[in-house]
Amino acid sequence: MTVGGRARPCRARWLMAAGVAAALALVALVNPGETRLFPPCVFHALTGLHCPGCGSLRALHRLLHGDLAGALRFNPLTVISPPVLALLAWRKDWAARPAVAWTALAVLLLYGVLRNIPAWPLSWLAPG
Amino acid sequence: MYCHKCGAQNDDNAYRCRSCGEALRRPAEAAPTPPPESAPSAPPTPPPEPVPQPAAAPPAGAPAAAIPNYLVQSILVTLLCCLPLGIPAIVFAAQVNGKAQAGDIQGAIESSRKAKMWCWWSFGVGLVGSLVYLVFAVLVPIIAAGVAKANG
Repeated sequence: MTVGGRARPCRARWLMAAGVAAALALVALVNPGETRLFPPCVFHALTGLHCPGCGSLRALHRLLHGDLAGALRFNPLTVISPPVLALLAWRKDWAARPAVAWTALAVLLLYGVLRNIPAWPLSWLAPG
Repeated sequence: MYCHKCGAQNDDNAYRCRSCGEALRRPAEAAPTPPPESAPSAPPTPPPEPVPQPAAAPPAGAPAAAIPNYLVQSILVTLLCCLPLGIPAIVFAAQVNGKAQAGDIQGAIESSRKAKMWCWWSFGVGLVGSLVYLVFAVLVPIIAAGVAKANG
């Protein structure tokens, strides 16, 4: 985890950055919708329901190809969360507000429920 | 004792935090010491015991905002790795600053530690699960197909 002491060994950070870059490159090069290389969502496999992360790899793949509309189709939260998380990582005092954390939890859980409701405006939240 | 900067648990006799390298102050040292010239004739006081203070007494001026809450990491592992284990990580992350604001520094440090622990469990389960899937769902069928081809 990156946030911690400032005296954290540099090597660990470089290793982590390299890992993230490699993972992003893999998701960009291989379309998660057309390969068996990436594991399916266990929650979806067991319950048939969409969890908040379902479709995030397919959305990330399209996002990395600059296809914003395609990314939104698979998981709108994946499109919204990187800038929000970057903001929280940058402004530690915002991340330190309990209300922000509880809001994040509520948004995640509510999103997980709403995207399983097969009615028009909400079905937009489901992948596909 | 806990590091007053990052909240990591350290040996009671440690001088530097093993996690962040911060110099660790003992509760006795953190208390204002009287200037030496104020009591020149006082009898020599016995040196303070090295570990008399319970761990529940961090320095009074412990920077509450410096206790990491791991919120960003918690959200990341919830979205990317393992939802069921990421949710408690977010709950503990949310508790950290609430407890710190209420003056419960020890509770905040404990919640911080638990948030970190759930983050790593979620990350580990997600990583191991992906690797196991990769071996059994991708590599094994490929090898099996290769063997079948070689035999047939």
